[in-house]
Amino acid sequence: MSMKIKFTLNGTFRSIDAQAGENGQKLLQRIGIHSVRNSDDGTGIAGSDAVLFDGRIVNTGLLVAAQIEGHDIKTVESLSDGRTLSVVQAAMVDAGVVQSGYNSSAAALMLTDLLERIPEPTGTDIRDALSGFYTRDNGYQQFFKAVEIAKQRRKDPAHITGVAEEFREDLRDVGTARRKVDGPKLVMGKRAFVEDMVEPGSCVIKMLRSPHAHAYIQDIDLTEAENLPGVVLIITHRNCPDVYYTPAGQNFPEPSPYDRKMFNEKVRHCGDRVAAVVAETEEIACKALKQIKVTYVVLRPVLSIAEAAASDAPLVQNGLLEYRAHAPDNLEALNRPADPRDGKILYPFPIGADPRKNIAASAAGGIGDIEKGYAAADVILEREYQTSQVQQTPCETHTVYTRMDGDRLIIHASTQVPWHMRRIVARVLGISENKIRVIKERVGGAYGSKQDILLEDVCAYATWKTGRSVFFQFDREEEFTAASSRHPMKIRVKLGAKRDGTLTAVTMNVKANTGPFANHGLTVPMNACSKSLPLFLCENIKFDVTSYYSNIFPTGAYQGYGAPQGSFALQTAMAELAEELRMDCKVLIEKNRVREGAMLEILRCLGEGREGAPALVRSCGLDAALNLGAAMIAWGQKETSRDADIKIGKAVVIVQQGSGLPGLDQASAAITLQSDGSFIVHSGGTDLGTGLDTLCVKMASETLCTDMEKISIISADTDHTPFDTGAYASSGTFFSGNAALMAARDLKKKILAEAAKILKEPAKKLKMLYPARVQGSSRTLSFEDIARHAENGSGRGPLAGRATFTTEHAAFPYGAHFCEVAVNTRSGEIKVRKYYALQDCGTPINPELAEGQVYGGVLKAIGHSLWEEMKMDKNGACLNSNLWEYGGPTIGDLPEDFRVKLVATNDPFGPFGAKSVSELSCNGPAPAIAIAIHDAVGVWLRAWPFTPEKILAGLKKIPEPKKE
Amino acid sequence: MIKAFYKPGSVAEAVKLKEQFGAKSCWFGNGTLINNALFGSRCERVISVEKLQLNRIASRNSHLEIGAGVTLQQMIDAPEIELVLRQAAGHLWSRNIRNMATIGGNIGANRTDSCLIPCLMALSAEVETAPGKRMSVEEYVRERHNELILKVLIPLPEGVCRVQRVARQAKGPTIITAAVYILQSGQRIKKAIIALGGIAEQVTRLTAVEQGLEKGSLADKPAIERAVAKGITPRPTLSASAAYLSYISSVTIADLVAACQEGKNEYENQIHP
Repeated sequence: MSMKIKFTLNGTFRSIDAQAGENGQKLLQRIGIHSVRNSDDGTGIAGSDAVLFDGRIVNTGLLVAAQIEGHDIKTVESLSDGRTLSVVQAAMVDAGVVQSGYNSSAAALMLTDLLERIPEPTGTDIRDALSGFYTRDNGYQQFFKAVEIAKQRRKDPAHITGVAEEFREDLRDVGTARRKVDGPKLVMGKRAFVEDMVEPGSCVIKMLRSPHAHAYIQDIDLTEAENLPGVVLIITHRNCPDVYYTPAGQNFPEPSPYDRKMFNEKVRHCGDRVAAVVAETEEIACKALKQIKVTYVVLRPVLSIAEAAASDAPLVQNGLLEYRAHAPDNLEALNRPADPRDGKILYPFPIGADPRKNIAASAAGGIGDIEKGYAAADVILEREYQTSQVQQTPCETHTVYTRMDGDRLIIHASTQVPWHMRRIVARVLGISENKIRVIKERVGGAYGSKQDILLEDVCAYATWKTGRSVFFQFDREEEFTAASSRHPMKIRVKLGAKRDGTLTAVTMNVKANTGPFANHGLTVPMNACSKSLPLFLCENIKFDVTSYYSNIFPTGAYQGYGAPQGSFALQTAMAELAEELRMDCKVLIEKNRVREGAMLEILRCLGEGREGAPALVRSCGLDAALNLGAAMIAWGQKETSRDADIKIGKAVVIVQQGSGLPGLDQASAAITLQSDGSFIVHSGGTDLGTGLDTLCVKMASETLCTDMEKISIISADTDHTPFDTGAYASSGTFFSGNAALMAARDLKKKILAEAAKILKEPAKKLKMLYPARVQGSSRTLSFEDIARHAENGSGRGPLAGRATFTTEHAAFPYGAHFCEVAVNTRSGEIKVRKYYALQDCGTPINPELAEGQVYGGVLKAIGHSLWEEMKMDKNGACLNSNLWEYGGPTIGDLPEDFRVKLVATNDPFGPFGAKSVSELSCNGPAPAIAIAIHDAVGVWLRAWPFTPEKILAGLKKIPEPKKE
Repeated sequence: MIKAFYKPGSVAEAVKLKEQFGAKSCWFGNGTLINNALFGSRCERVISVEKLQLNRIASRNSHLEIGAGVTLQQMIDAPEIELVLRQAAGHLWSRNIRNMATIGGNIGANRTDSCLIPCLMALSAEVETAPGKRMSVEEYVRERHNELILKVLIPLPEGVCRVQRVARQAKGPTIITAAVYILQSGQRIKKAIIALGGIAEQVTRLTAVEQGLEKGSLADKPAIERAVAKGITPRPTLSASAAYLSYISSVTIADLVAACQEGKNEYENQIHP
């Protein structure tokens, strides 16, 4: 039923044609309101689609067009006047809650509504106001600060509130909260994301996905679908490029096998690609999907590590094996049983794979003499821990828009790896990289999931083949079934120790389920060891890692990258050892932990995609973190509840991560001086909402003695910014930050040289001073004077600094996480009463954003510890592929007392002493909560998520739940 | 996908439309369930109650009347409504959805995880339907009635009612919702009503346990727990095993009975615990 819908939108009368049942969010997008976004496909969970409807906050994804008739709608556009932020919007940016910003504008509306209703809101009121809001970025905690700031500024517009602790008094911008450079644009809901760039008339892609976890495609009949008017192209395994590749956005050559084509004759998971329909409208594409007839030969699925390792297991990847280098001697024999329908696997270099046993990758190593270590032990403890498959759930699902510009392919991407994307797409399309430009738009949440090329290959191919502009965006179900996720693992830990707690031997045996493909199949499980074992100084260490192919949903990179699983196993085992030794677990940690100056020998055998090397710990804030945290939580003091059923327990764990990959990563930046003395930074770094652009601007502002306001930044555009390996492995601050710093220093030298020429004085006698001037002995020049001189007819040309940063030095961020839980022994309910994350990220460059990163990381990991889990049926179909049933935390799930404390150190190799901050945060919650639960009720839970059922089973009140 | 959307201006017109389209049509409060991709019905013709003026809350001598179009948030904000019912409305965590979801829609959807139905059953609430029929909420739910709900009538409670939602998270699936009403005469339980959602297809009364309480044969928590466990046969769900559902239902109801007897409301005046 088509109807004329008349309503008021932001104070203006509107009359539009619509179908009665048209989704309200889509309708608003259709008429140009970009700020009303979709994160949940109209299920009312995320609130990215929120508006004020007759003055009340509602989700437009739950409205249909006919309901809008005669009503008043206000979107975020109603909050601000032109370029000026409203009080609430400004407070949100200042408090650091605007990170990826995909639905920050919706939060701004909710909080504006709150303050209109309740000028002096309580914490409960704030939780209620944001009860319909979901984000992964910032752990919600800083919203309380944002409301406090807004509340005060409503009374006194000049009110200034310290939003975060300040560091480095010797510096102007570094170490102090400054407004995130892209914050205003995001909180105002301006065009910023890939979906905002799509031009009218663009085609769309809809993907036909496999209903089977493991099957051969015997036949595909496209006749009806192809004849449908408006269908432009259908891509299947029969007409896609015959190129094998890995979607892993890693350095070349990748430590991931090339084990898939764009479309394969064999489908290896429910939701695997079968056919892509490129059509002129979404409706036509959906209709065409229904008209494709596929005949499958269904195979037995492999859904667990045990099933994959069984001697009679079906083989998930039974294709021909090829090696670019170091092929095994028995390759011919290995290839004899290969099935051509399985395609092939190409290895850039050996990674210990044996696909004929479903082994995707393996590695082993160690230091010292492990048997001697156990022989010297008074106590030996061996335990197994298990982790489930969890999903990143970014508010912006995977999205890409591709178009042609002359003979060049333009990719508007939401990605962590623009240059890897360009390389992979060029290879798949068989074209040279100069023909492709990748523009990284604002990224609405990534957390590792956008390190892989999961839809850009298909979309780019469609555009290249047809010349048409094409848009492809995953729905939420595809995000669960076709994007990446955290590898499920089984980790066996064996510890040997003296009575006094001194570790004599440590073994970690890691089995990972990599799913249908092995992107990150070696490096993620390796990281379970390499980010856990170096926390404890022991002479005898052994590890072995095996990664299995299976038919679960694809896995890949997820913030923490294997470290959360390894940390859960090793830290919990240490606490179990402490119990065995009757020691306080903090004392056991102190006895064995890493310290500044330690040489981490174990890293010699734990390289990531290359030979490892021992690393010297040059900065380590664990002393302060442990001492401060112990005082904050009153360590050693037993808490009790007035309710006899509730038992309270505490825990401490230590955590570690890296700051990029020394010897592998590279970052570059350039800075240009503008004619009036202002600057533009061209950074290859990929800001995912973390504040990397702001950080790079601060590098320039400090070095070039200029206000941040006078420095703009262009980042992550393969045409206009220099090469950078991308934002993963916690590399942003250390690598891209250092590149920006070095480029600024390079430009500083050139400015001084130009000034020396003007002043006729030696450059070394000149001083660059704030604000934006160079002082000589005779007079002072402004940067504008210098720029104009360089740009005149006799000048040397525009001044620019340029740098590339690589290093062999590691900079490890550390942290101590303290936790207090209350466990109800009658109901099994677990409440996190206190969570304190004390983290050493060197110098916190953007303290408020760093805190937000930690809150976000911790809450994601509390999520997988207590609630989140991808559930499958016996055929491998996902049972909870939506945000409602999956279990990501909302503001109602926050710890009662949630605090982040940044413990500053000064790393000699970090930019202004900085190290990474975010991924580290994910490693603490699982072991901390498990240990605290044990402290409360004496039950060890060795498999996440920790549910009331598992507590009750541990207390013998109900039967044990079934295990894998 | 909704293809036709009707906004009748009177109850009579609404009923006529329903008669005309029959099973192919459905009543439409604000559509939080019908429009929801997770729960949505395949209803193609919807009859909206928007213009029927069903959004009033009125206190009468012996009861309270809540129009079927009153939203859950309006209920929470209405001090004249019993705190326990406002708390039940607050069990729907999202304010955004509470701003849309209506009491009539919640009853009409007849879901086992309804936040309101257990509490309304425990309070012996009735519905007035078009044209002019009156029946208990329990009957409306149990018999799967489909008449247009005009208002909900809640008698002023003589006894004490308590509700509890068990869930792993603030948002997300409810495991069980339980409501207990106890009217005591001295130490004796004169009347007990127990309604439980989450263990069967619909919210159900545990009449055997109610009778046991009224007869005085369930004297303590363990006895109540055993009686509840005996009276239910839950099926496992995505969030909970059958054993857990049985256990948690038992202890929750036993605790609610005790809370009613003590007159205790753990959350005092809070809507959200």
